[in-house]
Amino acid sequence: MQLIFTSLIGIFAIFGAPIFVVMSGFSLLAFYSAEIDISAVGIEIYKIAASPTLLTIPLFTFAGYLMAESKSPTRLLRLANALLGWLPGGVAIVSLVICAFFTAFTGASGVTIIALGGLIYPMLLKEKYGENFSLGLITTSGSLGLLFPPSLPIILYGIIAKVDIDQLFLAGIVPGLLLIFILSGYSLYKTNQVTTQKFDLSELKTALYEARYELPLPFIVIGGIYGGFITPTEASSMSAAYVLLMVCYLYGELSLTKDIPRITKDCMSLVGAVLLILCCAMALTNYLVNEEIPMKILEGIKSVVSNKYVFLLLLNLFLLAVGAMMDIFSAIIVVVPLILPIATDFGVDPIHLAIIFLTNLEIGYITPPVGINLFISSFRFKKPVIQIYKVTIPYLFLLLFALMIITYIPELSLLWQS
Amino acid sequence: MIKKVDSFFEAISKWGVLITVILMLGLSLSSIILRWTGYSFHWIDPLVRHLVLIAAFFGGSLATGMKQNIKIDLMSRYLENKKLPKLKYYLDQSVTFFSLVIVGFMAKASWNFYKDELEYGKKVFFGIHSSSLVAIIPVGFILIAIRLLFRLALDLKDEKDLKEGN
Repeated sequence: MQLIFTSLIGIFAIFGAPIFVVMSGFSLLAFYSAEIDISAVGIEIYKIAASPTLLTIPLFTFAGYLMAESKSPTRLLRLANALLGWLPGGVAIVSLVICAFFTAFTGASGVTIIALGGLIYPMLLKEKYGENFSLGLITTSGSLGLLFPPSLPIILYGIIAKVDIDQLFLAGIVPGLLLIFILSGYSLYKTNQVTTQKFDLSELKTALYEARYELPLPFIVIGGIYGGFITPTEASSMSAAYVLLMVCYLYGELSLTKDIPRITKDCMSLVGAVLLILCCAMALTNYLVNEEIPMKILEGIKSVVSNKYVFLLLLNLFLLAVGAMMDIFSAIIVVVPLILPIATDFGVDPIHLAIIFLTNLEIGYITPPVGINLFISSFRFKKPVIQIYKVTIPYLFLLLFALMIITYIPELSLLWQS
Repeated sequence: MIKKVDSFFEAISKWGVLITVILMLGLSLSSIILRWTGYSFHWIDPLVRHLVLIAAFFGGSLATGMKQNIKIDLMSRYLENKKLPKLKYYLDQSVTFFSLVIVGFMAKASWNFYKDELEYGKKVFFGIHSSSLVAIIPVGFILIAIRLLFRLALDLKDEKDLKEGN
């Protein structure tokens, strides 16, 4: 009977049932099969309300959505272009940096490609980058800032793995920069026939003045947290309040009564979808942990693998498969509680594991067949998804190369700790 | 008629989430300012965390209404690419029905938890009984179940209209 219901839920998952429904189904079935009253599912869900960093999820995402809907992308792009555009491959590097910044704030929800794609794509074509290169770059950049603070997946990982979010924010910086560095190197390599612009000080001054209200934002988040003035939760509310003030009053680009309700609805439908998965999966994962399922898996793995580095290789293969099949939020919520004790037993630092995990899932965004960025790009630029598959392949290999470095040089992630 | 009632629940979710976000933002900011001035209210933090839970259900209701819940969309996309709209329609309807059943069970499970809390719970902060906070969960699931029910009915109506039009 249990097998029939498990298969039924699995089939509906493939048919497109919402992940929170799938998680709920498995939770109910698990508790029922263990002859535990199903009200325990409610108790497990309610535990989420005890998480002190829960508030960061809606508020950082809200701040990101507000910026994406204002003219911030245009201003920041102009500023980055004035700063870095004169470098060989400068426009491509600018695109990578700006996309990373926006992804960090919007949680790699596809907003980056939608909000910035229309600005960056013609800019790259104008600078004589090929169509395929440009499409691949934007598609890849749509999830590039995942490792930078205050990215939603990092916060979610911290909540699930019970790891300090401020430590995770720090740990992601060097690996995140490595990804940008490698992709910038590739842009530089492809830039042979591309024109480069001259450095213009007056343009830089104008761009700096234009973006004067955006500039304090990284200081509020990073400076505030690591200066010891505010906690990550406080940083999220200060960022959201500041961005609201900025877009509605300082720049006056969004109307408090017309635009804010619409943007809140869009943003909170994503946040709600993520939080619902978090709530419903908590019951299932807590059940699995209580039943010591990870320990049983560990015993199985240890009978085959004893070397830490072989384990890390297998872990990467497994996570790449997960990233290609599941969305990042569900993957974090479901997979982290299972692999965390196993990886810890193999001597992998939980902070390092977080960065390996998130890099894998970042790659999952551009991995066929269901990497979400592939579909968003196909929709945004009205190109066949097969073409998007092809143009992202070089970037996929570059990111895999970066993943190997991040996996086998843990110091990159643990630099700030030591 | 069905569309009107669904729009009503859509409006509740939209304005509900807006008010919740404003409250979360306002309360968390005042908590920081109070801390800087040496004051603190112990009820702000738990209240804000429960507001996040409320926002999750309102957001979930909005995502359900807009068909934007996170899912593995393999089969549906395949059928769309293969231009099999009828099969896709039946598949989507069966998925909505399945979701409705599961969400119904979740509402029942959390309702049981609410009843237990009503009996054995206590006053927590601001004079609020813990059962009132726990009630967020069954009410939230009921709201989502209603949105799923209307989605099922509206999609059924659309299919009927399409057939009559043909």
